[in-house]
Amino acid sequence: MQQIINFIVKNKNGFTFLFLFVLSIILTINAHSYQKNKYINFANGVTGSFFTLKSSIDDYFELKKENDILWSENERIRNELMHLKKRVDSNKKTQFTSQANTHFNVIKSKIISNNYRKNYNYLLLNKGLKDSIKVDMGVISPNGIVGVVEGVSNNYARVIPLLNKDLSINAEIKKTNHFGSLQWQGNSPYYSSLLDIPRSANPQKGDTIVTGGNSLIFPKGISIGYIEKFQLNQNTGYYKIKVKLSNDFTSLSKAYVINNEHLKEAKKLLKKQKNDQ
Amino acid sequence: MISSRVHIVRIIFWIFLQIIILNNIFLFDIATPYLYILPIILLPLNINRQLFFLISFIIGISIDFFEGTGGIFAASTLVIAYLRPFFLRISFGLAYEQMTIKFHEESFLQKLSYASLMVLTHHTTLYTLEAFSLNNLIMILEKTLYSGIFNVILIMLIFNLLAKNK
Repeated sequence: MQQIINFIVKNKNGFTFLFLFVLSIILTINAHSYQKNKYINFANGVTGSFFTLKSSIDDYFELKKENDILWSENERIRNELMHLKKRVDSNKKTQFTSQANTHFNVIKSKIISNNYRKNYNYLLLNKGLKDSIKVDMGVISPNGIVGVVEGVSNNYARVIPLLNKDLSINAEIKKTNHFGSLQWQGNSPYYSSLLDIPRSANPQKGDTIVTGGNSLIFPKGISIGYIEKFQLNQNTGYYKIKVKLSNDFTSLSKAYVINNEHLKEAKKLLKKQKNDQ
Repeated sequence: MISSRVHIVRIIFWIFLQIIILNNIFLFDIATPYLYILPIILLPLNINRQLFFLISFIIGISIDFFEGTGGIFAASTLVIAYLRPFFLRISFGLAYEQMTIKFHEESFLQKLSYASLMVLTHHTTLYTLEAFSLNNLIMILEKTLYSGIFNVILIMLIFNLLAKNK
């Protein structure tokens, strides 16, 4: 016993180092496991209020650009609205309105901390449980899809954006409706990759990529980006497509959180199915 | 006593500078200045080892806290804190053994070698843990090299500025 204590006292520097090092490695591993990130949550009061202050200052420098983005979004939405009004008018007796996607609604919010340099990036929103934001809600910005809510505290929400290697999203080519999964490869914040598109899809440069319908999180048809380059893997017969993201992730500021009112119900059903098996 | 207060102020200053400004810089889409390690480089030589580890850990974990990265910065600062005596011995030789280093009076080459060893070790650990796998070794090396060189240049510039002030 005496010898053990002597050994520890003699090597106390090494042990201090080892203890702290193992602690930080554990924290790192924890940060990589979903929803278990409780020890040091990014979305807590201290960092949250700090980033709120910081973004309220940053906002002044971005006002003009932000205005332009919102302006062009307004233009697009107005066009869509007129188009829809026309369709509703001409289809008054058909069931058009009842078919519309009414179970999705949006909550506006602000991105107060933005990361895009790392392989596993996260964003922070200034809305949380208080504003009825829950885990697994989709997040979009005026220019297209941003990511998925991954953790919430009372006042803040942590978002896992497209620029995170852990996220994979159901996406399709708008023209042909072939779908695959969108996954970031971790290099440039301007590009992502669309995998598992079958040979028959015949993609063209410049084709629009939108969210697919096979997702509970996003409604079908939200813009993701455009095809920049594509390459057919002869062995598997699947395309690997390089997608230019329509969102500029290096300058995000406003976002909308999408609330799918059927999410809970659908999840319950899936869970039940799993239990039955 | 005054000297330790200077170090605490310096640490807090660089942490805040890192969080507020430097973390948002992303030069040529590859290099970020991580100047928060400056106070670790400049802490006194005869400091208690355990206290030194603890300070480095706290500096690292506070950056992690605001970056939402778990513990990668803490691990990196700990590694350079652990290896600092070796780097000092390699760079300054006899002056370190006798504890007579006057940092601002040492030659440019010695300072450069010390700073590069610290920065490159820090960056290697940081980017390896950040990638969280060894599949992208080339990318890790690339990031380490570019960002490391950029950091060494910045740190050498700051050394010179500090020396001029004296």
